[in-house]
Amino acid sequence: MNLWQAFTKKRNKEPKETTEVPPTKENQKNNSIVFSYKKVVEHIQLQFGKEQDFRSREIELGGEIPATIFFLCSLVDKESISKDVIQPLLLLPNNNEGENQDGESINEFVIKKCLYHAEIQVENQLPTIVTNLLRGNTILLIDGIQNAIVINTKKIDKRSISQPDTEQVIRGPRDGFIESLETNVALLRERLPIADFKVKPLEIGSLTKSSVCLFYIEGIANPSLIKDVEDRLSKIEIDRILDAGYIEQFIQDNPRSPFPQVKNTERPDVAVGNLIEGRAILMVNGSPFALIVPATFIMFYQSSEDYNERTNMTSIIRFIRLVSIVFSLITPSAYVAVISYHPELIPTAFSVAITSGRAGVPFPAVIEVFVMEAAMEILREATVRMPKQVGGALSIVGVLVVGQAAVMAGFVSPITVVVIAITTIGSFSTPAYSMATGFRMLRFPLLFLTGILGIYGLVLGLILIINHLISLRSFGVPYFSPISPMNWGGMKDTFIRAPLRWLIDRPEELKVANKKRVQNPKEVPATNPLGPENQKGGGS
Amino acid sequence: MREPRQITATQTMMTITNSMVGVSVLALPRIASEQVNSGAVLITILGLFLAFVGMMIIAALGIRFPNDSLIQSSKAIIGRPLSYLFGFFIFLFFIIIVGLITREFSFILSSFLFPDTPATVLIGTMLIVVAITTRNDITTISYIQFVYFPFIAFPILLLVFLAFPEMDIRQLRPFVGNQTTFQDFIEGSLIIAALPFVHIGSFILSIYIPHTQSTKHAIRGSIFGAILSGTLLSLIVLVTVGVFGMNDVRNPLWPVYVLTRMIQLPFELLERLDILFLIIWILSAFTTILSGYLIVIYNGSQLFNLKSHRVLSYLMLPIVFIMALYPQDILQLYDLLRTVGLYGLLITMLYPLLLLLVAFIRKKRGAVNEA
Repeated sequence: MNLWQAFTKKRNKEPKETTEVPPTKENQKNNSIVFSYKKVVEHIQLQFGKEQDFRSREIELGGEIPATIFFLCSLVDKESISKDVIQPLLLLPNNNEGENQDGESINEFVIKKCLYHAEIQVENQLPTIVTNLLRGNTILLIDGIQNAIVINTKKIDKRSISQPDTEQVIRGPRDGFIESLETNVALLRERLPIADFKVKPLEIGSLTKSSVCLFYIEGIANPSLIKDVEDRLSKIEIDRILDAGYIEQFIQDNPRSPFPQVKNTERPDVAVGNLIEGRAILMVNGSPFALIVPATFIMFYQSSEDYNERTNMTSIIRFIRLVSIVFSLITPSAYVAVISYHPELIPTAFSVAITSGRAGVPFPAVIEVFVMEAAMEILREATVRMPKQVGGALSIVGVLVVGQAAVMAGFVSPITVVVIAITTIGSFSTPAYSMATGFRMLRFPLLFLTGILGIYGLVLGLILIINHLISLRSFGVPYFSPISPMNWGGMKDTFIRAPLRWLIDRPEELKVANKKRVQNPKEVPATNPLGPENQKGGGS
Repeated sequence: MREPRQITATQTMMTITNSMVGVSVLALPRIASEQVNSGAVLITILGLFLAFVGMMIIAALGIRFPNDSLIQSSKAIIGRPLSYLFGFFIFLFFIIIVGLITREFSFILSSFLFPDTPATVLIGTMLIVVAITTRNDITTISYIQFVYFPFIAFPILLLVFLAFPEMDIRQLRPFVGNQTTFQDFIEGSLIIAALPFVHIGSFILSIYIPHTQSTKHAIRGSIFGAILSGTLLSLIVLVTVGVFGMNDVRNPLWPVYVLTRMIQLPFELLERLDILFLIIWILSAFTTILSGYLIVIYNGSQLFNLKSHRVLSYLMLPIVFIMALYPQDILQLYDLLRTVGLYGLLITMLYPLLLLLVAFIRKKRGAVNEA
C-alpha cells in the first residue's frame, strides 16, 4: 500500500507542477512579447482590487496618454510618490506639436527627463511586477509602453538603533543591529569602507521570501569557505525564515551536538572584527542577529570588550571566564562525587562542617543536588519569560525559597546552596548565551553519571564531552582549534589576549588567503615620547 | 581511507607518550624489582631502550613505505598469504592485550575506589567510551590525544617532584649489591620491553605514519615520544624504588599508587591526593586503551578489506569485552600479561625487523609520497 502510494505520489507530482507552471509561463510570454497596458492593469486590479491597502491612481500624461500608478499604501512613502512621481508626471506639457509618440520615446522621456525619484527600474514580466508591488515598490504603467516602470518607494517603520541587550559591554560601541537588513548593511559598510567588502544577496523561504545577505571580504576570506556557505544556503528548503536562527539550524555541521557551531552577534563591531579575521557573516531581514561562520569553541568566550580594554586585565578576566565555565559544568558533579563516594578527600577540619550541615537532610547528595539544580533552571526560565513588572517578585521568591527556606526546612544542606550558586553564576558569566545553555544542560547527564559511578563516572563524562568538542567541525574548521590542533599563533588570543601589536596573523585554522593583518609593519615607535631612546634620537 | 595527512610531530610524540604511560605504570616498579631488586631503574631504562629500538624498526619501515600501514606494506614485501597470516596474529595479539589492560584497569579501580562495583560495569563503560571515540578519524584521535597529554605528563612530574624529598638515595643500587646476575638483567629488560603499553606505544606509530604530514614528522615524533615517555617512566621507577627500597616496593601490587597516598601537598587543601591521581590514572588508562583499541580495529579493517576502521568500532567491542573478562583473578592476569607480552615481542619487534630485512633484500619500496 505504502509503496503504491509512493509510486502514485511520484507520478502525480509532475502533472501537478505542470498545471501550476503553464499559466505563469503563458503570462510571461504574453506579457514579454505583447505587453498590453490594458491587460496588465486589468490583471493587477483583479488580483489586488479588494485588498485593504491596495491603491491605484489614474493620471493622464500630457493631457492625453492614460497611465496608472499602483502601490500598496502600507509599505510605501506616500509623500515621495506624490512629490517625486505624480507631480512631475502631471506637470508634463500638453503635446500640441504632434510629435512622434511611439512607446520607446515616451518611456525614455519619462525615465530620463521626468521622474525625480532616485531608484527606478524597468520590468516587463508580470510576476516580477507583482513581486515588486508586494515589496513596497510603486508600479507605473503607461499606455503604449512595452514595460512597467518600477519605482522604489518602500518605507516601513523600524526601531531605532539601540544597545543590544544580549551582549552588554562596559567599554565599546553602543550600537547594535536591528531588524531592518538595509540598516544593518549600512552599519557594516560604515565600518568597512573598502571595495573588497562584498555583500551577496540571496532569497530563502518559499513563503516569506526573506532576503538573506552573505558578507565577506574578498582577498581575505577563504574562497572555498564562501563556496561552502553558498552551497549550504542553496540547499535550504523551507517555507519560512523568521530569524537568523532558522538558517543556523540548516547550515550547522552537527545538528545533534549540544554546542553551537555558528556564533551569533548583535554587535556590528564584533561582526566587522570577524569579517576581518576572514570569516563570513550571514544576516536575514527581520532578525537583529548576524551569524558568524565558521565558529570555534573559544570564540564563545571572547567578548568584544576584550579587545577594547587593556591587555593584561583582559587576560585575567578571560582566565576567570574559562574557570567559570569549568565551574558551571563540574561543580555539582564534583560535589556529589566527593560527598557520597570519596569523603576521604575532604580535610578533617572541614568534614565536621559538612557532616553537620548535611545532618538532617533526608536525601542522598545526588537527589539533593539534582532537585536544587532543576529548581534553579526553572527559576531561570521563569525570569526570562516573565513580564518585567513581576520580575522583582520572582527574585524574592527565588532567594527566599531556593536559598534560605530550603536550608531552614532541612531540605538541603547549606553547602549545596553554595554549590548551586557557584554553578549558576559560573554559567552566567559566559558571554555567549547559546554556549552557556549547552554547558548548563550537560551538567545533568554528568550528574547522573557521577551519581552512578562516582568520580570515575565524572571523568568518563568529561572525556566524552572533551572528545566530542574536539571532533566537532564548523565549516571544516576544527572546533577546538587553536588548542588542539595546536597553533602557537592562535594561542596568543585564546587563554590570554596578547597586545594588539602582537596579533599580526589572522587565525591559522581559517586558512585565509591573506595571512598577515598588516602587510608591512612599521618600526614600532617608542611608547613614551620622553623615553630615553627618543631623547637620544632628538639629541643627535 | 583517504584522509588528509595532517598529523604533526608533536601530536605523534604526545600520542606515543600517552599510550606508553598507562595504568601499567602503577605496577611497573614492582615488576621491575621482582626481577633485579634495586636494579629496577636500570632495567627499566634498558627495557625502554629495547622498545625504542622496536619503534625505530617500525619507523624505518615507515620511511620505506610512507603511504602504507604495516599490513599494506607487508603485502608488498612478503606476499599476500603470509602477510594475512601475520596480520591476523597482530590482530589477535592486540585484542588480548587491550582486553587484559582494560581488566588491569578495572582491578585497580575496584581495589581502590569501587570494591562492590562489578568488573563488567567498569570494563564496559571504559570500552564504550573508547569505542565511541574511535568513531572519529585518525587525525581527530591525534587531536584528542594531544589534549590529554598535559593532564598526564604534568601530574606525573608533580608526583615525582613531591616524592623527591622522601627519597633515600642509598636504596638505589643499580649495578652491584643487589644479588643479581647478568642474566637477570637481560630477562628483566625483556620483560619490561614486553609490557603491554610498550607494544601499544610502538605499534600506534605504524598506524600514524600514513597519516602524518610527512615521514619526517613521524620519525621526529617517535624519537621524542620514546625519549619523553622513557624519561617519565624511568623517573617514576627511580622515585618509587628510592622511596620504598627494594624490599618494600615488591609488596604492594601497585607501589606507585601507594606512593601517591604517601605524598601531600605543602599546604592542606585536600586530605589525600591519591583520589586526584586516580583521575590521572583513569585518563592515562583511557589514552592507552584508546590507542590499543585503535590498533585492533585499524588492523582488523585492513585485514578484512574494510573501507574504514570506523566500521569495527562497535563490532569489536564484545570481543574485547569478553577477552577482558577472561582472567579469573589478578595473579592470573599478571601471569597472562607476562607470557602474552613476551610472545608479543615476536610480533611487534621481530616481525617488523623481518619485514625490514626482506624489504631491504628484495629492494621493495612503497609508492613515493606525492605530496
